[in-house]
Parts: sequence; structure tokens; C-alpha cells
Amino acid sequence: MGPLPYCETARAARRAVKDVPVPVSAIVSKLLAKTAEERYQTAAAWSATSGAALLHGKLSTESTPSRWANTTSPTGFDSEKLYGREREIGTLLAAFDASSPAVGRSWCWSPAIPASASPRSSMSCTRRCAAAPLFASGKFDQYKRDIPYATLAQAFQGLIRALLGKSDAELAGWRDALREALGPNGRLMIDVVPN
Amino acid sequence: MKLLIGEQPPVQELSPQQAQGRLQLVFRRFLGVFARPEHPLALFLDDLQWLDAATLDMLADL
Repeated sequence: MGPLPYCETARAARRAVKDVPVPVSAIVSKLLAKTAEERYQTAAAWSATSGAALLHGKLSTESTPSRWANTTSPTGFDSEKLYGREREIGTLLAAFDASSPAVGRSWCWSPAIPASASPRSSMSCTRRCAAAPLFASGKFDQYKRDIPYATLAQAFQGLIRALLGKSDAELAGWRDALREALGPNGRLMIDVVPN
Repeated sequence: MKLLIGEQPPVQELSPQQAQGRLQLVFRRFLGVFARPEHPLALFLDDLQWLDAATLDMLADL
């Protein structure tokens, strides 16, 4: 398979260029960390670390990498958040307002990562009033492109699993609505969204 | 889905083209059950660069 699947994750600079000093490699790795919260949280934190490394005059291979990359930030990065998506979230909220004027303004959205998914693959939402909006999320996969509708299946499996946890009365409502909507073609959706 | 709506009878055999049209129609109706004014649906799809052709047709049809 080769190294392709791993290209998304930065490799240590020292593995690419053998004579890069350990502190520089550690600092570069931290700057290129996959998730935002693993990187330096402020310019000051980076500056202090890099400055210390340089001033120390020990840019040799003997230094331990952890010394230069283990600065934990006091800024408390919230990893549960989507970054730089304010405009998209605004569009989403506007769409909810438009589709559901009676309850639209009471949504309280908080984009977040479910524990089981990658940071961008889903959002959770909470709201202050009675009924909740429905949420389905799926992630397209390079290696599942030959499975038709795999991602839609994933999204609706998650949604239906959540419905199955509801009360019998609610479940009956969904069952009736689905049977009515699908008519004699229910089997098709069972095939698209199995188990 | 089977847990929710129970066993369903086999569907009528159609030509591939007709079957595709029927699937899109049925999917649209399926989606319509969830996306309603009283409970809007947010469908979050990540990594669209790996979208498959069948799903693209389905979404384009919406």
C-alpha cells in the first residue's frame, strides 16, 4: 500500500533530513501537528520555545525532543469546536430559521466532535426547547468509493439507531411515517441502509 | 431500517434506468420523512472529494 495513507500526518523532520537538530525537528513536528490543539497555541508559546532552543545553543542531536515540544498551553483550546466555520454555521442556522419559523430562533447550535469520528465529520447540537432537529452525518472514504451510497447509509444508520432508542410510541410514529412514505418500495431503503 | 419498518416484500423488477429513477424517488420520500418543518434535518457529509458517482447522482436529483 505504500506510505500514502499516512501522508495526512506529518512525519518528523529528522526522518526526512537526517542532520536536522532534535529541537528543530521537535518544534517543526509540533507546528505541523494534525490537530489544532496539539500545535503551539500562541505565537508567544512558540517564540519562547524556539528562543529557548536557540539561546541554549544546544541544537545538537543529543537534546531530547520532548523538552522543546512539550509546552502545554494555558489557553485551553476547545477541541470540541469547528474552527473557521462561522459563515457556514450561520447559513445552517438561517436555513433552520427559514424551514421552521415557529421554533427557529430557539436553536442553540454547538458544533462539536463525536468521540467516534474525525474532527470535521460531525456536529452535535443542543437546543433549549422541546423537539430536537435531526442530525445525520457521514464521511466519504477513498476506499469505499466502490460501495454505492456507503456514506448515505452511514449517515442514516446513525440517525435510525438514535430513533430506535426512543420510546415505543415515538418509534411507532416513525415506523408509520416511513411505511407510508415508502409504500411498496421499503425494501429498497432496507438495501441502502442495512442493519 | 429493517428493525424499524420490518421485513418488506421484494420490489418489482424494472429496467436499470427505471430502477434508478425509482430509487431516487424513494430516497426523496425517505428523506422527506426526516426533513420536516417540525424537525428539520441537518445532513453533514464530510470529505466530499471521495464522493461516489451513485451518491452524486442521488444528491444532484434532490
